[in-house]
Amino acid sequence: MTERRPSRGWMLPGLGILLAVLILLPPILPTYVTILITQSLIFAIVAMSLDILIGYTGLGALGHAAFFAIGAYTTAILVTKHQAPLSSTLLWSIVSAAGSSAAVAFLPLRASGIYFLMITLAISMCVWGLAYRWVSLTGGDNGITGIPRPDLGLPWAMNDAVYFYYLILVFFLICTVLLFLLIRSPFGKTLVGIRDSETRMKVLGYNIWLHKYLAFVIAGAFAGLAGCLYAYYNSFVGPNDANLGICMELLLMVILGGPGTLFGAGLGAFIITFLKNMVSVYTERWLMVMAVVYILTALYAPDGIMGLLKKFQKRRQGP
Amino acid sequence: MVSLGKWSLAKKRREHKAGILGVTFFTVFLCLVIGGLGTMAQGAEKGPIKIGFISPHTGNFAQMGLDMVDGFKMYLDEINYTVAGRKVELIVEDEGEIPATAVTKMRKLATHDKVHLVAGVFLTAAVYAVAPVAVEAQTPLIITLSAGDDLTQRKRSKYVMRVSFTGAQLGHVAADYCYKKLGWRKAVTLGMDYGWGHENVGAFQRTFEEMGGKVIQKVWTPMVTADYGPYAASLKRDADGIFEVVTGAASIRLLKTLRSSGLMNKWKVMAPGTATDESLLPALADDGVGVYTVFNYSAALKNPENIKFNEKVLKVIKRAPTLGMAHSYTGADWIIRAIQAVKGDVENKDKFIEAVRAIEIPNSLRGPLKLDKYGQVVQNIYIRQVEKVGKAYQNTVVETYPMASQFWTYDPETFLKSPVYSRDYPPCKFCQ
Amino acid sequence: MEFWVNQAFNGISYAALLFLLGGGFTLIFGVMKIVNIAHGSFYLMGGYVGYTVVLLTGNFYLAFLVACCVIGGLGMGMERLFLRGLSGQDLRQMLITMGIALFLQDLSLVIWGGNPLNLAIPSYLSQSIQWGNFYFPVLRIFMIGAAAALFVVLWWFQEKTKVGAMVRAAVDNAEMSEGLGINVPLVTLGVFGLGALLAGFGGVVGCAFMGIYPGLDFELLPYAFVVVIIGGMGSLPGALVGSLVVGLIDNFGKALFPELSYFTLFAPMAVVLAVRPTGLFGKG
Repeated sequence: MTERRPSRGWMLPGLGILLAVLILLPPILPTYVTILITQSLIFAIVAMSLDILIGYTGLGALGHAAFFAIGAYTTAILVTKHQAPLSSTLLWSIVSAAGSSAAVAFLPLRASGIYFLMITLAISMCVWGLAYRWVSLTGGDNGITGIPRPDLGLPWAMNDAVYFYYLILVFFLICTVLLFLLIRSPFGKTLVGIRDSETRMKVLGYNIWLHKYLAFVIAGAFAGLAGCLYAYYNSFVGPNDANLGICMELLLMVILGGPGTLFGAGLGAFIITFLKNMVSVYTERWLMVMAVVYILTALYAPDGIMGLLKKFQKRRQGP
Repeated sequence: MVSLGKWSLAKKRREHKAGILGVTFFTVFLCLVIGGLGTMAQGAEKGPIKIGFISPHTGNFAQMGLDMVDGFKMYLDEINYTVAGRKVELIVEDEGEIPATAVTKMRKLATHDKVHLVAGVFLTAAVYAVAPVAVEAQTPLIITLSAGDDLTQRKRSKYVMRVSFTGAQLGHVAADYCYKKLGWRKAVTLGMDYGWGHENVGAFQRTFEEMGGKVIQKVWTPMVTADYGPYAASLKRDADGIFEVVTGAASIRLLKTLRSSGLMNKWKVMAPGTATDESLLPALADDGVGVYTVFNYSAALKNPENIKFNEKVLKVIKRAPTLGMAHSYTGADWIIRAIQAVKGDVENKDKFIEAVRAIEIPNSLRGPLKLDKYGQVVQNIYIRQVEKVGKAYQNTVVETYPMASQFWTYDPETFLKSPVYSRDYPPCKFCQ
Repeated sequence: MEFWVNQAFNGISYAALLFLLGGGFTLIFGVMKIVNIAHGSFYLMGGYVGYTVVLLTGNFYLAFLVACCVIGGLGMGMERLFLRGLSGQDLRQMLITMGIALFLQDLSLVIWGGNPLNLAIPSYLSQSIQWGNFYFPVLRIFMIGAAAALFVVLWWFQEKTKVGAMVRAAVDNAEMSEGLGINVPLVTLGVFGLGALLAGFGGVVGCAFMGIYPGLDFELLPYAFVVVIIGGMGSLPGALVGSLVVGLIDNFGKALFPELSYFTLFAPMAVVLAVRPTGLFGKG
């Protein structure tokens, strides 16, 4: 499969504009907007990792919030009980999330289709249940409060919304680059092949199960990383960070943005985060607005916004 | 398999072009959002006094949140949203069902709307999560309904004040009444497994055991419990009574279960007043009659202020008065008096906070009120019993404990040396 | 002795409620391969509708009838308007059911407000039969009876009637069934309505038993999941067994190990997932 060299050129200026916006705007934005963008970036990392599973491997993994929560709790516990530094929490959050993913991935991979979905959902419910009742470890319903921002030993205090934003931005960019490299790699292309036709890949001699398993673990690792960042961002972690609502929201982010485009997942994360927080300013019925978004997306934009844009592109190009 | 539409190589080319379209779209979106939100933020010089108010609008406690807002607004209506020559602007935010939502809203109020103070907050878990944010943003937080004991004890800050109650404030008094007046010597406790439950039960156990009683069983239940049957069945039958801390809709379920399992024939039930909030009494109906509760308020209080308040509520809010409304109303009263005391100069935070802490209300609708030096209100605590009067139910006041503080009869400094009441503190020495 | 009898009785009565909730869920899953996130909302709306009927007419049994019709109709409407034509597209279907669940939750908040509501039940149901030291609330007995009766009816319908055979055929192989002249779209419509109806029925019972309030829909959904996963997705007898397992384990677990409440619920689920992912009675 050869790359199309001419069309590559279109991407760079676009990404450049986006990068410039993300880097230059926040200091002049109202603080609240910066805070929301920070939250969006964190969820963009999770959504993109989920896109690896849903969009690129074709696995309807619904329990992804579980690994996000595991990462978040790991950081929360390490910071509040052991005053661990960022390097330590980052490492352990990734390890615990990837480790749990590796441990449980066997279960859903025994099934397929809708059963796969149910099992991943069941797993995330187990995590939620554990977080809820293992009170000595997780604080139960109280959750873990008062997580301080990391002390980086730099002249810029992380308590400031803008400085913290840049920290998150750095991680976001690193994750994006890594995920991008992943999908461009032979491994990533194999995943796409599996999504398109498992039988074809099997005939060609690829180890389907192993690829799916690794995809699961890798996605879990990224979710754990995002969870770590979330713990610092929110200064609070609770069992509801792994509940059904979050799982469905992540799914919505991926589908709304456009599965299988990575960028779409990030876009979806931004839209949903801003929507959730802005709509309640204008109306009490923000749940209904979200409901409409869910339904319209599923009915009319199953390939998300990126999908709609492509259709638009196609129509413009003519037959 | 997951079905997402068919893919082909030709689409890759379109993907790249769509890429730049997507990026442009996103940038435009971001600008619109910024523009939209930007117009919302107002530079607060000597404009209106902005009060942020956080309460739950969705989920299990939606009605409580509504009561809280209505009570607060009723007071502001009475003063025509004006104090010391300045207009008052009320910004109401939804606490949601999980503390994370409350935290986001608090951040918004403090950093974006730049409110001069935040009031309200309902769930104990939410207030513990929200308080550090308020302190960091140096925005005074005046808790009008939550508990969360440690916020005016070991975790206190000058920015956090509370005019409602603490779990311990109620638990200590309950123990005194149960031991002396109800004659309990052995008690079982059943509490929701979070801060509110821990703090009430811990306080109860400590005082009860110091007086000579024994707590022989402590049961913790998840906040989301559909069926209390198994818990009721596991309670040790040789106790003299039960102290339970279950709030909201769950309280109805628990009390009905206690009734139908025959336990209420044996035992008296004591609980903090939120278990029999006036809004729950109609649904509780006959199953609630006879239940004792300990609280800082009852709609059935007979002082002239409260009688006037009840009339006003029925006329303006057109519902029966509840604890949510009463607490917000008193909280608003407190805040407005403080603003008057500094002649509207809320921008001077230290002076304003000092004023809040110096307020004393000798004749509020729930009795005399003042703050102790830790920021917690000192007030009458009432023992009430649910009674059926005609066709309606009410919390009749049967005993008054005047001016009880959050520390009961203990010396504050010594009190603060031991840990906050939690699941495991005090430890259960007599548990069987 | 008293303890064991009480707990077993409680467990079985709770299982009855779970069966009403999980039975519908598993039917919908079995026939249409849809994970219906809005199932808790059917339960919720059923409870609210039942409450209103009792409030207006005072007739407890009318409440069941009306709730069943309304919620069944709601289910069929949902299938016809939103889910038809999306068969096989699991993620899209889930998004839609989630959207509808959120919509119904907010709608019920607008219509019925946020206070918890309890159904006013006829006085003979609110008593307890006393037998020595044992108290058996009549309402719980009613729940067990109703669920058992429904199970028998449904099982007979599925196994012994022609229509039931059509449903089973559609479950096993929709294309073939269509080829044989079975009106599969009608079958799916009917099953969805039936599943919703069961949940609505459960809602009325639940409202009488433990009250109804916004948020209950998502609180109960995990229980439906567990019942279906343990019992087997798509199997009615599985739902019965699953709800008994969950009801009993939950009750005894809460009484004996109150610290581990949710764990006693999810642990059996995890075991079943590990050993037999399609559930005890599941197919495929």
